[in-house]
Amino acid sequence: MPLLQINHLSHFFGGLKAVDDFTLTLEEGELIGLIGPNGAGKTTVFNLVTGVYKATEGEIVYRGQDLVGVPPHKITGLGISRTFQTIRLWDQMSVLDNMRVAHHGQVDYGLGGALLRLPGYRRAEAAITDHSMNLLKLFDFDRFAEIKAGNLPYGERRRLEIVRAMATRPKLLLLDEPAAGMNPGEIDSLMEFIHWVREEFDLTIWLIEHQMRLVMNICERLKVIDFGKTIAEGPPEKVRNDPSVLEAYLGEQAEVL
Amino acid sequence: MTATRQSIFARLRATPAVDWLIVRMREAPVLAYLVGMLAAVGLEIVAGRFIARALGLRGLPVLFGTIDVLEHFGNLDLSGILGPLFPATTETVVAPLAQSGAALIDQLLTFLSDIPPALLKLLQVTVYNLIVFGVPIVGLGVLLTQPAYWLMKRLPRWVGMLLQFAVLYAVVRLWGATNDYRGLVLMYIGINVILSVSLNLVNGYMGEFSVGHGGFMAVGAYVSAILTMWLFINEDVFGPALLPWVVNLPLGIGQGVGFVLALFIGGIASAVVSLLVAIPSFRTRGDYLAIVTLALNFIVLAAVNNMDSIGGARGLNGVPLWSNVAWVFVFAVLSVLAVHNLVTSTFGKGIIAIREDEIAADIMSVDTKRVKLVAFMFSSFLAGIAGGLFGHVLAYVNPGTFGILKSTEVLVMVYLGGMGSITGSIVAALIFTILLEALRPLGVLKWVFIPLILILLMIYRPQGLFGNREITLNLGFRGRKDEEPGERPDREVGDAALAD
Repeated sequence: MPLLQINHLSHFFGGLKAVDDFTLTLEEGELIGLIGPNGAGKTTVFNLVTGVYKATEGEIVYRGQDLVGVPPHKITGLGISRTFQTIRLWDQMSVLDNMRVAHHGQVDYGLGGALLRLPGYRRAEAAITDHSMNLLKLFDFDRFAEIKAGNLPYGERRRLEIVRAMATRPKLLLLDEPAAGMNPGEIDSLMEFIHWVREEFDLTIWLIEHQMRLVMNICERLKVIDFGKTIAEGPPEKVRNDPSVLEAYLGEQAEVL
Repeated sequence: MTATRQSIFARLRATPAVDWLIVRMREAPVLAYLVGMLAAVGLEIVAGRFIARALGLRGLPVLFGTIDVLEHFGNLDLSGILGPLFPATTETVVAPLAQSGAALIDQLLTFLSDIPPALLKLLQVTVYNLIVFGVPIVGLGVLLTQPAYWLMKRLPRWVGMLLQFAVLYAVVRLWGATNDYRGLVLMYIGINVILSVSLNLVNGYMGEFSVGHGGFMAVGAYVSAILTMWLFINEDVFGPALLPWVVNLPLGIGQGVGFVLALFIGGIASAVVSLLVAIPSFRTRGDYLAIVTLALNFIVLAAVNNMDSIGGARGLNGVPLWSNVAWVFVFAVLSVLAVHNLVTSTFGKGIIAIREDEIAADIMSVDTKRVKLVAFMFSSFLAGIAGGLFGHVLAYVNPGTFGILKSTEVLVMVYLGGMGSITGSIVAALIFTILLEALRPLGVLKWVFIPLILILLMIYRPQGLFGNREITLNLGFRGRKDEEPGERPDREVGDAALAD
């Protein structure tokens, strides 16, 4: 059984068809990329999978369960986590608190437990803080634990978003333009970082990216969409030379020349 | 202007003696200051009247002398100025204008002649406050620094906390004991602390905008007042008590049991009402909640106004006088602790995450709908408790008290203290309640000054007195290993370290 099976997924914003008949099979342990020009509908696909939007048509089957209509926090609880195109950290909170809140789905005490600081609360909080600190140590972030997330440098903020996503204990990690705003040197270390995270946590990774260097180097399989429609898919070498992909990115050949 | 003022402060700060004192004052733990306050209050009881007379004051300054200073302006009357401008007949314009002008000049002269005695009084009460409060609090705070640390290091954490609350209670109780009016003000302060801290949970921590706290207060006040009257005491509205045996429980605990029960049911009723508002409002974000809570405030009052069985617009008479400084203190402390415990827990951090970025919160496994509901209901629950306490202060509840003006007062306290700062809310409740009382001599003019203060606050310090920071209380636990996992104040120190 594939980890994620998306069948004929379509989504409309009013009359605009943002995603059109999107189909994808994602096997466990794969690292695949979703590319396409700006406005192609890539982020919308992520938003549909993570439950931010409810798909107009089609189904998203994750480990045999249809995700359409399931609220985002439940989808995260099932093991899908993500980062965002524009960084969405909780800036006024400390790095550690960012990590702790990502454990919200694992909180098993209620309001009463929190107010009265019952033993169950203390146990749960200790476990959450431990897990958070361990992750921070693993990613070499522990020295920043008490710093407000908003005060970290840009690159660290991008990385922290991935670390925070890991706190929800995902099986499938969706990365939305992880290399946005990075220079070539930073992209190299990001590629290593993604490889390492994948090995370390035994993850399946699905990423959206514009930086061809990153996509071509680390993705095992690519899917290209434009105006919501799939225009090509396959291994990077094949996609790189696909005429319809070149056309989507660069315009028709005649115009380029 | 500001530059010179700052330089004066800077110069003062640079004096060795002042610098020494400030360093020592920073070092001193809360317990030392609390003992200092206890001594100050004791001093006032023993020698307050004598010191006041010696300084030429008529009697003990009730609220740190604020009323004494402002009462000089009590005979200002602006109605004489505006009144003639709206004459009943529109025959002439000149005469009323002249009349207004004369009244204006008259009032201006009154105002000017009021200034010198007010300034003298200001000097007198400042000296009084310095002698009676300033010297003992600062002096003992600094002197007792080492003993306080010594004690706090040896006591178990909860005993240490309990000790501090006990001393605080003694301070409050003794300060209030000298004068009935002080007791009343203390109860208002406590109730306002509950109100502002609870509204801060929604407006500050969650970043929503609720403006109808008066409505929730009204629900709590009416429900608990009806319960105590109907169940526990004999009066004219509901007849003989339904459960008189509760109040007759041995050891005098009956009244307490009945009161707490009524307060909690009032709070729960308030939470249930808030649920009706919250379910539709939290489907969207933004101003919607403000409009709905505002509407709810009016709906609740309209409903009460039209229920003749509970007094309607006349209000409900004969509520037992069960609120006292002790109960208000206990509930205020519990509310503050509850909100503190909530917002430092992972569950409660989810509330802040919703404010910071709701989509990210949702994706990071926060059940945003549920968390918002829980926070909003809990806030309303506390408002209901505060309303219940309020209803039992004056033996009388009437719908007029819980109008939009009350809701606005609570909002002002939250914004004065700073969004998302519990300590800010507490300090703001304290300052604002005293300010409301101190401005009482000015009559209607009070409602010119309070909005003015708010406008100035919004211009010069829009983030409130404390922004979203907490005053870090030095509880004297420093160096102990058993810091609680959730209790890490967002320190600015860490950010400074990053910059290095």
